[in-house]
Amino acid sequence: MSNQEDFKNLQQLWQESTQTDYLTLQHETMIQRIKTDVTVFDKNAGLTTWLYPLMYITAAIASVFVIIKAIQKGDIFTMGMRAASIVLYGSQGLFNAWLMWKMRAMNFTNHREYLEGQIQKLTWYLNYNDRYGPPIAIVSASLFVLSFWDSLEWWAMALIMLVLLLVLGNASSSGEGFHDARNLRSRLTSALRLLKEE
Amino acid sequence: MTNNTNTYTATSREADFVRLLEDNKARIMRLCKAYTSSREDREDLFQEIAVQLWKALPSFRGEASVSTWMYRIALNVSLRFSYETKRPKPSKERITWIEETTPHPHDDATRERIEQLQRCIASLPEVERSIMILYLEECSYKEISEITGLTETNVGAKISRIKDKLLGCMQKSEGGV
Repeated sequence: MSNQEDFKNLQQLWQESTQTDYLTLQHETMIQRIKTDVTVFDKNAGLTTWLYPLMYITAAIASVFVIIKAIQKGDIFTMGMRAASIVLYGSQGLFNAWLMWKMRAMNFTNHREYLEGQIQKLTWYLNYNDRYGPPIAIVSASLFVLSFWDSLEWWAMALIMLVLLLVLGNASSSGEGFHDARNLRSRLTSALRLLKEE
Repeated sequence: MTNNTNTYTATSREADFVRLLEDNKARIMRLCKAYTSSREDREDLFQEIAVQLWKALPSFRGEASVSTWMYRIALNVSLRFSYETKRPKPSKERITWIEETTPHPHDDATRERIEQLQRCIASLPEVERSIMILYLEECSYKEISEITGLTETNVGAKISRIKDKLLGCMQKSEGGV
């Protein structure tokens, strides 16, 4: 092959070399922004440290001790509340730990896999919290109010409980509690669509 | 009326600028790639070129072709950027970072040749690199002469020398693989 032909090939190679670079850079920038948001979300959702699952599991264990005392006293109401808190706190702690382990075991070799993995994580997170988020919030709020049991009149207790249930019910029905997760999942889905299209 | 005229001018300038960038983004990106060693630098340089083109757009009178005018600005900005940042020349690791993180449409052999070509171009001295980039972009001797300020004869002589150098570098790299 002559030098002229060789050079024509190089010219063609050069033209091809960055045909996709502009898009690649756009994707890189988009992914970097998303990665920052994912990091913030993980931190807020307690998915970056084992402290959160440990905290929930400790709360569940503490409830075991309370339930033993309640059984001895024959306090059925406290027994019911604590039994619910053991189930809910325990499952929340185990779920967080499972999600963290699952995410750490995932190996992302490219942007597409990264986005798909994050969407999967958020889907698990939302599915779990849609189902168990409201009861956990109600039990937590009830336990909080119960700690004032001795110092409050019955009508004040009832009023506080009512307000708490209204606020929690409203937040739950409007999906506000997991607004960030839904928002992030929708951004990840759009980014993945963009990546597939281009 | 004055306001309307101003609005029209501003809108028209913006539309011209967007069209200019759209038509030339791949060329500018190739140029940025030859003068930078990291993604951050490449983005900075691309942005700096875009800013300078935007600033220079009102003074473009069509005396030279749009591509000549654009290359002149883009090369000046790239050379200044390269001197100011004084970054190390692109190494294999740095150049291939995009390919490492993103699926690339080319097959392995083509990708390897593209990387070799980028390495060989990056190894050329600044002026020779500028001339070779313009030549690879299929600019004529006349255009290269207008952009770089060299005479056409000088451009011709340099290109012939740089071509041999580049082909030699490519053959050496392929032999070494």
